[in-house]
This record gives sequence, structure tokens and C-alpha cells, in this order.
Amino acid sequence: MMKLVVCLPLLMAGAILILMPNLTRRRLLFAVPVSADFRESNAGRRAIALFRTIVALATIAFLAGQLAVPLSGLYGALAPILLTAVAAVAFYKANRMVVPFRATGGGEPSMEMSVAPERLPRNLVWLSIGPLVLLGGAAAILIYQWNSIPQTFPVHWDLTGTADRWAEKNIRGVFGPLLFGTEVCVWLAVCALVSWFGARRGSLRSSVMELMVAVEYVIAFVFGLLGLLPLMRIPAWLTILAVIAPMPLLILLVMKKASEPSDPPEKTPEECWKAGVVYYNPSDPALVVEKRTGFGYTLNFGNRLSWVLAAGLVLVLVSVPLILP
Amino acid sequence: MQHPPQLRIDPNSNVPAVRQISDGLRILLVEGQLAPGAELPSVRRVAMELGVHFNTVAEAYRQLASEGWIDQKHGRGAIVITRTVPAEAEGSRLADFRQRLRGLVAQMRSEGVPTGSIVNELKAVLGGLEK
Repeated sequence: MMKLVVCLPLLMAGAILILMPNLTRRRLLFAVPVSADFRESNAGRRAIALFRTIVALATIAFLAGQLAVPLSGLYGALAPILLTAVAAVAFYKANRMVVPFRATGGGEPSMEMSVAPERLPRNLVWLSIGPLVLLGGAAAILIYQWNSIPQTFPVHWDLTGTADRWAEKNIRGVFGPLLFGTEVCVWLAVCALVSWFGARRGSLRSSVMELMVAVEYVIAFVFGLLGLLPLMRIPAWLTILAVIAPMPLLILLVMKKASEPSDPPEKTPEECWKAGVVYYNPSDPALVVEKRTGFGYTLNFGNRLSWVLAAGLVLVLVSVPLILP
Repeated sequence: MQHPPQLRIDPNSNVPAVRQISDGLRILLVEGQLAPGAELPSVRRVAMELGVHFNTVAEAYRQLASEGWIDQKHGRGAIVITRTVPAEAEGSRLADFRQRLRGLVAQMRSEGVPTGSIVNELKAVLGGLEK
């Protein structure tokens, strides 16, 4: 049973990679701007089929390895990384197949010569408070039940389900997961604001904000659940399921957004894209530009502020061992 | 409700961005789509939306200000002003414009635009002036 559960992250990674073309707007395929109907052409179908076949075979091979070897945290961590590396090679091959069909017209930079102010979508601002309320609610339960919290309690289990790390009853031990969840939610809210004010105006902005708020809710749910560890024992399999269960919903949401008819992809200079993933253009004042792969925005590393944001992400990662028990 | 006028540039064009912006705005001004009193967006916003450097937009705005089309406000955008129509262009300037028009028409023909379409395009441009 446990073996099947630890296969889930790998299965999920494989599924996300296989669905990658559907998680990208129709006019972008393997980091190349294409016509809206290119995916239905023979060349488009061949490129997608090649990518999916390679990724599917690699996923099956790694899953077989997972089931064949004894339960190992190292294999569990390495397999998704190796799978991503294989997917990167498949992506490059598919990209080479699509490049000759690059669309040249459409998406030229244009703007309305008006001074109308830009307003954040009011409903999303209110909705983004929800995750913090969720985490605050979990904190309130802990405070209310403070006397029921034991002096030490398990916070981590190995793959066999045996507790291998304990926390003490103090601020960090009890509230660590909630504080970290709050930190991540605030970080995502900052990213959502940056996506709004640092990007060019267009329909993509509100879609990205909606997704960011949805991700905030998932984070708040997961860390809210982990935050209740001092009060109740949560089995490892339930923790993995709690992380993975909302993923299909998020994936469906992205697929829906990506398939909606919309403006052509943002036209950015080809020479500023490194491997179709990293954008560096010091002449472009935009802080974020539309991604060539996946749905949403990526940083313009030619803008100095983008390095501040990247440093913020590093700070969030560095804070993991400092905040979590 | 009338849509605000659009400014568009082509990043792959051989024409420098500063000229594309000043030419594009001049067309909107001449055709009256940007009337006196209209406020133009800030240099920062135009640069952001068009994906060009701030200095490029600032230079285009300066050029239009020097031609008397707009009044630039420090730290803000610019306002379209009523322009004093200059004295009729000299014969040598007209000859220069004629040469440029001939060059443009020649380029359109060499790129396969039928003569009838060229005439229609020129009529459409003139129609915009007479509005």
C-alpha cells in the first residue's frame, strides 16, 4: 500500500509532463509561437506524439523501478528529477520539429492610448484573504487546545510510517507549519501583484491572478492540515494525498484557461529567449512576460527588480529549516 | 462607446522603434483621433506596453513636442495641444515629400501590392485627413 502511495508523486509528475502541451496556450507549442490550428496539422500532431511517447515510456520505466526496488527516499526523490531531465530532452526534440512552422504575424506590441487607471480585480483581492483566514483558523484551534498538546509530538514519518522526527511544544514546534504556510501564501500574493503590475495589459493577467489565488488555497489547506499535527496523528499517506489530491483540479483549471480563445501570445524578441525558458531583455521594462512553456508569466532577468524577486524565492527556501520543526 | 486609439509597433521592422512610435502618434494626431486636450499615457507605461526602452518613448514624445503637437508635463504624460498650422511648406520640402511617397509606392509595388490596392490605400489615408 505504502509503495503505491509513494508512486503517486512520480505518477503525478509524469501526468503533468505528458499534459504539458495542453497546459500551454494553443498558439504556443514547445516554446514556439504557432498558428491557432497548428496542433491539428500533421507536423503538430507528430511533435506532440513524440514528446508524449518519450515521457510516457520514461514514466513507466521509473514507476517499474520504484515498485521493484525496496522503499527508498533517495529513489523517490531522484526519480522525478531524472524524469524531468528525460522530458527536457524530449521537449528539445519536439521544439526542433516545430521551429520550421514558427508563426511570424500577430501579437505585435500595441496599446490603447488612454490614461484609464488599472484596477486590481476586486473579487480576487477579497478571495486572496481566504487562505490567511484558513491558516489563522488552524492557529486559533491550536491556541484554544494548547493544554491538550503533548510536550513532544511526531512531525515526520519514514516511508514505512514510523515516526522519525519529533517537535517540542514551543512556538516554532507548534506554529512552524502555519508560519511557513503563511510565508508561502504571502509570497504568492506578492507574485500575483507583480504579475498584475509588472506585465503588459491583456487578458492573461486576470487568468494568472485567478490561478495564483487557487494555488494559495491549496497551500493553505496543506499547511493548515500539517499545522494540526500537534493535536492529531496524520498518517504519511494522508499527507501525500493532501498534497496531490488538489493537483488534478489545478491542472484542469490551467487546461481550461489555456484552451480558451484569447489574444495571440506576447511577441517578444526571439534572441532574448534562452532555451525557450529564460527571458533576458534589458531594453524591455516589463518585469514579467508571457511564458513560452506552460501557462502564466516568467521573469524578465534583464530587469534588475526580477533579481530581487528571485532572491525572495531563495529566502523562502532558506527559511524552510529555520521555520519548520 | 468609442474605443481609444491604438498605437502599434513591429519589433521586426527595419524602421527604428522611436520613429515607429513618433510616426504612429503623428498619424493619430493628424487624423484627429487624438484631439487637443487628450492626455497621453506616461512614458513609463508606453515603454512597458510596447516593450521598448523608456528613452525610446521619451525621445518620440520630445520630437512631437518640438513639432508643437503635445505639451510634456514633467513626471507625467503629455497633453495634446492645439497646434499652430505652420506656413505652407516650401517647394523644396514638397519635392522631398513627393520623393518619399514615390519611394513608398515603389516599395509597395515591388512587394506585389496591386496598383488598384495602392490607389485605394492612398484614398483611405486621404479620407482620414478629411474627417
